Amino acid sequence: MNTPQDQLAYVAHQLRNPLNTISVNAELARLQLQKQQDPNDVLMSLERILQECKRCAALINELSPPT
Amino acid sequence: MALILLVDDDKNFTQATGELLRMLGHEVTVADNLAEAGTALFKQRFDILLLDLMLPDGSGFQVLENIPESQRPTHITIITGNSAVKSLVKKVMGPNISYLIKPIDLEQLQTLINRIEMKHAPGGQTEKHFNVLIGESPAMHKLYQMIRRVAATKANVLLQGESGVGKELVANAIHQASNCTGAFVAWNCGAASRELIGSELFGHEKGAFTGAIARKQGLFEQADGGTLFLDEITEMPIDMQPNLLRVLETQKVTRLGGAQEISVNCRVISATNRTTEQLAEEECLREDIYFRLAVFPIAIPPLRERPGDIELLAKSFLHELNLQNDCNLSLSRESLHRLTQYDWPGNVRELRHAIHRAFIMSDPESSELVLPTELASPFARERKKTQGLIPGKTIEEVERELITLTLEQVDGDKPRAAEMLGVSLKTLYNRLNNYEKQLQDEVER
Repeated sequence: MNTPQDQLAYVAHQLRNPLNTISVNAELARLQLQKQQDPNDVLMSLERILQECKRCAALINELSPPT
Repeated sequence: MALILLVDDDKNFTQATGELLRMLGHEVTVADNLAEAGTALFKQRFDILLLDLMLPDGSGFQVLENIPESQRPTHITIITGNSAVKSLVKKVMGPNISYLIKPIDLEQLQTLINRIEMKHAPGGQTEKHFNVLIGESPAMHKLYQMIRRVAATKANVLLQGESGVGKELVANAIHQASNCTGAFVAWNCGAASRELIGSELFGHEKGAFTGAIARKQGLFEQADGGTLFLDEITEMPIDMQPNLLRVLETQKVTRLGGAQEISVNCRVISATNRTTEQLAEEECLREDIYFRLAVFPIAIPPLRERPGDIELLAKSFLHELNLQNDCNLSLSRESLHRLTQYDWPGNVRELRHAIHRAFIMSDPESSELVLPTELASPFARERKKTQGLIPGKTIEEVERELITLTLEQVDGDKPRAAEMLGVSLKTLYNRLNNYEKQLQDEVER
């Protein structure tokens, strides 16, 4: 991982998984709300989205340390 | 509703996707790794396998290794971040695969499942008894009854039937009907050299013999809580059989080179293509082991004794091939008639092979499957020849058989066949025309 391009490719690759989880959990939260499910279930889905957002941030920080 | 197995190691993803799919009305099992996926696949047959290729204990490509054909999911979907993986996957896992490209959304999921369900719906799938067996003839219903009866017990089963009748499938059906928690482990006793039989069945400890570089679980241990299927049991050398007998009697195995006895609890289903009389005469199975294995003997009927099932089987095989290859071939009435007229000495295996062969030869753009002019496989023809004359046949039948055999021998060269038969070419043509007319009459009737 020497060149900036290599780093970019690595992060792009690594970001797909958390993004995927965010996407699926967002879809789930929407469906849970539509079907008026227990608000705690919706909160769980949102919690997972937040966790994954943190994972994304950590990956980006690997590329450029926070200023 | 579809039965779905979701294999991915990302728990935040599987939890949400599992819930999402359940809310859409499907039944979902989740596996975090290859080992769990393997166990789930052995337990039940899934409609759809949603598979991540990168798993903690190996590649997703390995998930179908060791999974018997009858347990393979009807459809496989790869979850991938990169569409470039498609051509590679096609090479490894065949064409009947679809993809979910990350990030996945609801629309992608719904479109995929609807497409798969639609694809599998047309024409009403043939019913598979115990998820594996096809056939509605009285002989098969009797077999199903026996399967249900024995599945409720823990008895060992000996399956007897000609080559190609589907002994492994029946074993699998018993396993499915037993509601056991362990795996279905199949093994052919003729497949290992005599030195390796012990290590295969009972396992070995590291260093038990030259080349034993690691500890190995034997088949009995692998099948613990489930079913061990020993095909061609008579191929096991007679002097090795007492070792097997000991395990059957004590329900304990000792790995080669090991000292500790390990308890095993599995049903043993063995199979042979010999009749009980042959078993006794040929002395290929010890009497004591016969009584242990054949607590409940089941005879599987040959295909010629259930001709009514030929159509169901042929259509089901063709349906599978159509799905795998995105084709839509069907069987004409005449083809079905020809299939039911033949006596299938190689049984269901031969029928499956004949349909597959015809499928490959047919034009994928056409709508009808074209059967070859000669249905019999070279092996069947060999057997037919040695059958010889049987009292009770009419002269006309024997004549027809002789003409057919001669024509086969000379690859359809009619002038040569006429010469060999000692008749004029005209006579030969007259006979052949008659046979064709008879066949047409039968079809019309």
